[in-house]
Amino acid sequence: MTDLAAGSFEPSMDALMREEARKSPEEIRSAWIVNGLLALIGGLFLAPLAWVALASVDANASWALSWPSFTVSHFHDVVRGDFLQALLNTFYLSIIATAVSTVAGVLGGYALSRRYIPLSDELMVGILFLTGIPVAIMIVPIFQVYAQYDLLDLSATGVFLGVTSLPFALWLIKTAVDGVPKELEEAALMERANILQIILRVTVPVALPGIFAATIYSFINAWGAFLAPLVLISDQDEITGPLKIYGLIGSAAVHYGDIAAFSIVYSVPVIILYVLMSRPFSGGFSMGGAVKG
Amino acid sequence: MSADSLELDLERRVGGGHTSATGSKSRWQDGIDVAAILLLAPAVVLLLALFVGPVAFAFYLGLTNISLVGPTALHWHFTGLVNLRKLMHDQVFWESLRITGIFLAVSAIFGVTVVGMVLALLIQHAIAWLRVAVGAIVVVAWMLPPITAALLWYAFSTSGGTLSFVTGTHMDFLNAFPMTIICLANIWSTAGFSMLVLAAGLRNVPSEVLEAGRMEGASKWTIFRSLTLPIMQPTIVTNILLVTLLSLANFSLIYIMTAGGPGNATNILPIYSYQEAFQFNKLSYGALLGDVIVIIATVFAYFYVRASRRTVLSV
Repeated sequence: MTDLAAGSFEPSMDALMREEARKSPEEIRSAWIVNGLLALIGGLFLAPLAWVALASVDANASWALSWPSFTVSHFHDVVRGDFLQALLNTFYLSIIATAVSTVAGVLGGYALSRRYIPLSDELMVGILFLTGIPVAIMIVPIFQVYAQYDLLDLSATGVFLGVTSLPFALWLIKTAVDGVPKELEEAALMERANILQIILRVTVPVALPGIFAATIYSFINAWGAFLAPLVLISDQDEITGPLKIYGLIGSAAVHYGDIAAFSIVYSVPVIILYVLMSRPFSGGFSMGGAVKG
Repeated sequence: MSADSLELDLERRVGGGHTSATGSKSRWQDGIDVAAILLLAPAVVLLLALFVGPVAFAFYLGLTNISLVGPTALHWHFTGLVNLRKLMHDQVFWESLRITGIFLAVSAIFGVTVVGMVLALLIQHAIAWLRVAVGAIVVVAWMLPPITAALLWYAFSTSGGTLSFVTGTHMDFLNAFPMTIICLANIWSTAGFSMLVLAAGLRNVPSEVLEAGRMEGASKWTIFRSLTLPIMQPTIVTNILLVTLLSLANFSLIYIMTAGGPGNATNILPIYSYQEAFQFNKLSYGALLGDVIVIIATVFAYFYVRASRRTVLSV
């Protein structure tokens, strides 16, 4: 079982009781070591985050770490104009990618779970294999094909990013559908429901946690995508959040405060989605590969 | 096919046979399941057109003279082994391959796995609030979009940044120790994943086994080395393979921080491929370099699939 929920570090009850039962001086000492070491590592992980937090509210922000002369003007700057446009573009791109991988993933995942498909085990192995292939290696041929058919825009890039999430989405959704009792579908059949009605009204609601996980995975994947939009989007009006930040880092007059504030505004949705995904459905999915539970 | 005929179809196949009510996957003997093919079609068509197809196309493009601009952008043709011969004599390529190997070995296989394991172990025994706080920080570092992680590490390690502030120098650490910094950045941004995978594996180690070890008077280190590690081995192997694939895909982090520089110091293969294709306009050579990454990824993905089949799929 590899449930990767954020809050799943709780030790079992009996482990806690064992801990209470005997606390020798040696154990107290080792508890100090454990907690101290963890705090130290936590501090090291926190250090790179300090700059973005301080610079985003610092009127005189630079690359340097310094106590801010407090202002919220950077956050004002980055929720309007071309910053807002970049966020909306990222959202549009992510919605398209999510729709593609979820629709194809639900239909395909259902078929893989429920219907007889020749060589379906081999197909699942192939899908698992594709989850491990980096997107970077497809970028030259995709660019060539998209350029040839005049597809270098936001929507087509969204479709491509959706397909890059599809193997993992198929895997998650197939696993989720496997867990839906067949009796439910058979009851619906008695009511003379057709197969699409069964999928939408019976299977999808019951398998929702797994499907939801696949949906959020696709969304986060497209939201964070850098290389694909960098290569496949040429129109300045269509650039996404990551390209905006990248452009700002390289520009002549670097607005450090705006970059920091915009990275926060751009990154927060991902964190929120992750928390949404991991909390109510912990155990219903696994993340980052087909480490099935 | 209309919804009505789909309905009939499903009734014939699912409602009709008694095997389907109990069997985990029923095999219908009466020919091809049209509904199944229609349901699977969108996924298969998309994957063939925009995933498998492009990878295959890249192998062909790698053996042509296609370029991004100029006459050979439109009128390109197959050139056989010309590019391959060039690759064999390309010093930058061999250097890039070596850097990729170091990057994967130091940061992914060793760094991320060890840091993830240490975190998973510490978090298992730490007090509640510290466990939640550090867990959250490490997972946030993993969840952050690549551009944000790269920006943070650029600000952290550049001249005048946090690292030079802390050490009281004005050193440009990113420029002075580029490989060390990108390895640290990769560990920082991937260890959360590793921690979650390994923490889940640790929870599955039966406590009776560890208790038995304690009864025998074994030291903590002995218990870890001879009981926990062997039981965890499949999880660790899967984790190493996944983290390696994640790091190989981590083009954005390094490209944004260093663009492969200074010089070629951090020029891992995905960056070299991108730059040849889109900055030096040699699409064909970029594709060929991409093919090398495909082959490396395939080796790791193959072992990953094998490991998962054994421990998880049990097909």
